[in-house]
Amino acid sequence: MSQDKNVGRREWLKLTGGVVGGLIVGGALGYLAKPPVEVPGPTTTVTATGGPVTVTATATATATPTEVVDFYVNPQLAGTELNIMAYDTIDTVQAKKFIDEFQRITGIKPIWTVMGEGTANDKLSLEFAAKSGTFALDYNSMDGSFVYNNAIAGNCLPLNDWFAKCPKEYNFDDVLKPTVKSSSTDDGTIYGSLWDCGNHWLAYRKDLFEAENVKVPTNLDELVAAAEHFYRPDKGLWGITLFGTPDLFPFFQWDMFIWGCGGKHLDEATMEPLANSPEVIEGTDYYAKLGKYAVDWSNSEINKPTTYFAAGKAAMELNFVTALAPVLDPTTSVVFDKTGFAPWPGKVAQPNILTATGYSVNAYSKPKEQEAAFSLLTFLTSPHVQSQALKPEFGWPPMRASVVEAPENQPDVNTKWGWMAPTIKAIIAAQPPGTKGAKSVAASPLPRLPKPGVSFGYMKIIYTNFAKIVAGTWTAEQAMNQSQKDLVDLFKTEGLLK
Amino acid sequence: MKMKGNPNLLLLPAMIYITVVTFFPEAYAVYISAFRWLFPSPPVYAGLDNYTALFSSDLFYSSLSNTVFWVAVTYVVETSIALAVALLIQRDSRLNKFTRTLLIVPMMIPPVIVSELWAYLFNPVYGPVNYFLHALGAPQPDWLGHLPEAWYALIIVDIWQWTPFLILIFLAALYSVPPDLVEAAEVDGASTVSKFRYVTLPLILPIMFIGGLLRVVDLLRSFENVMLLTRGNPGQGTWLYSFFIFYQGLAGSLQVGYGAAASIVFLLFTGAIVVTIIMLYFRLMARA
Repeated sequence: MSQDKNVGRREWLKLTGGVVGGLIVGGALGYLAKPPVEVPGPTTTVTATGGPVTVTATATATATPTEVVDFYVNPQLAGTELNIMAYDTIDTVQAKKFIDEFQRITGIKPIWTVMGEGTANDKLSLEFAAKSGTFALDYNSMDGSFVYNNAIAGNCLPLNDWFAKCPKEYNFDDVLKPTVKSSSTDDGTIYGSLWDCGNHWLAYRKDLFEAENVKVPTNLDELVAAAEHFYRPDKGLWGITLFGTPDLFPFFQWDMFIWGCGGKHLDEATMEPLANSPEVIEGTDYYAKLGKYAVDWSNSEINKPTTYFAAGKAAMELNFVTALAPVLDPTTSVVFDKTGFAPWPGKVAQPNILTATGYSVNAYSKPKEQEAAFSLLTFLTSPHVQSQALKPEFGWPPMRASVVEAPENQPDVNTKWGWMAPTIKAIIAAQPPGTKGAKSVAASPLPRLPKPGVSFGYMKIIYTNFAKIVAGTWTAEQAMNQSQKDLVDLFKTEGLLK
Repeated sequence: MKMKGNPNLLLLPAMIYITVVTFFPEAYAVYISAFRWLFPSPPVYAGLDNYTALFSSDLFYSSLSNTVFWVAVTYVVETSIALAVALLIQRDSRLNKFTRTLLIVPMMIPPVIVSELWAYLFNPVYGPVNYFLHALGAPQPDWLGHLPEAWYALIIVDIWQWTPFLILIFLAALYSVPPDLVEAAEVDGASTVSKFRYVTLPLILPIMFIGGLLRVVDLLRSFENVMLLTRGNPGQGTWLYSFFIFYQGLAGSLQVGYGAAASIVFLLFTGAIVVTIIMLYFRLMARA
């Protein structure tokens, strides 16, 4: 045995002790060498409504003396952690760009949980069912159904009294009226606020349409014809991209088709579903016809249609305006300079439906967290944040009339954010009579049912039966007849129909 | 040495745990299955209405038959491949040792990741599977959007990930066969097939049964591959029963009472299958 090759226990202990000691000393030196964190003084003056307001700052609450605080601030909320549930969309990406400013001014620390819309909605449903109040600020789809259903179920906090406490600079009257309606119940109680609003548009490949002398569709027949014309899967090009997985996305897209054919979801007077009305079947049939020319239809959900269009795999895309944003980004799109936009080509002339997402305050969270949630809600919808909506480095459809109509915000359709222009014009046109632009309000036609869970059940029945159209096993008429039967059963079971 | 006290008291902590984690949720599921409960509306007592609705639902029968098809086909294919591979690699060699190590890798990847990866591989537009099929001049199906290709895709993914599990079990069984019995059969002039059929197989059958039981139970509760690969598409063509329970009870709208009723029925169905397999096992052992 060669003893000199063996390292004794004592030597090992010395070596280990040396390493550990070195780490401790090195770590201590590194910590001491860090530049000191500046801690502000006990008070900081913030310019707010009507004159200076003294804000008692903590180590995490500061504001520069020149910042205008045109949203709800309560200095006592400094240090509060605010849990936010948000969708994994471009809207959240844009909203988060302002968070440092919010945190600096208020001292509130937002913690974001971001996930896909379908998953987030399922999680929110469980959250509300359990009344756990984990997420004080919930990113609710405000298409006229989600916030309404959660409001009548008592899951969201009514905010009218809270908005009354906002500084006058917040200027609630400046908020576009259709967006207020979308986040209110029928009695005018407001349960949230929209961060953005938009509508559905048709994106198309200008280069292909011009090269082959194809007319940009202005109605559904032309849309189907164009999709068929450009359907060349063997050459890697499909006619169109559409949602097709059995979840909310095809439902919202289907909603546009029945709207575009003059259809309705139900007779509000009798509460009878109208799933098998001729207009609804016709609209569904158009969707089914288009689906034959759609790329990867049965698996297309959330961002997939835009991804395929941006990759040059389809000649057209129908989608929410904010979902189309990546198409114009040179880093994510090969067709950023080849894309044109056109109004949604419905069969019947209808005002554009405003679709939007925004925030509501969770009724089950603690009061301090609810107040912090409201502070962030008003910050994101404040004039100074919304005024940046149309700047090139941001980009979302703003929800304030002053921003929409400002002369510097009337973009050329050929500029980077030119695709916002038709959206902005449609929003102005959708203002209620007597306000700016005298067109009728085009809020979402999604059913506002008096029982909270029934709306979700309604949507689920539609997209479950619609999945059979996507699979090619049912026609539109078969799917809608089955939907009508299932909906009548549901409404009768829940006492909405006799 | 005689033990003092009641030794059964030592089982108490485990019994409390099992009661809280297993029996109580099951009992509560039976209770709420008697209610019509569409969240967030309050529950309304409905007696057996949920079960009546369940047994008159086409989707119930189709998802149940899909599950039986899925378990039977996947299990038979996996067992055949696993046995063949185990016989091939049972000898000690460097290559076989390396192969055995490599085989473990798919099992170590979380099933959710496996399903997501294969969803990309099977993508009809971007996926490498169709790319190579195109290069070979073969048809490129829509793997996840058409039948029966969607079933092929699901089965391939499960085979890829879980056949190694059976291979390892069968290998352990093969190593437990006394070599002198095999040698004695060789001396008596038995062919390879005869040796396997009359010596090896009867000795490894009990362990194959155990492995089979574990796989059948796993296959019965398969969920993530359907959820992430096909979402039950096309139509409801690839709905397994576990997906049926999730979709009807939780996804989109929360029909909790109906979902609970579906779960209870599935518990009874699964229990019947497991008991049948165990009875077959004991009968086999008794015969041996």
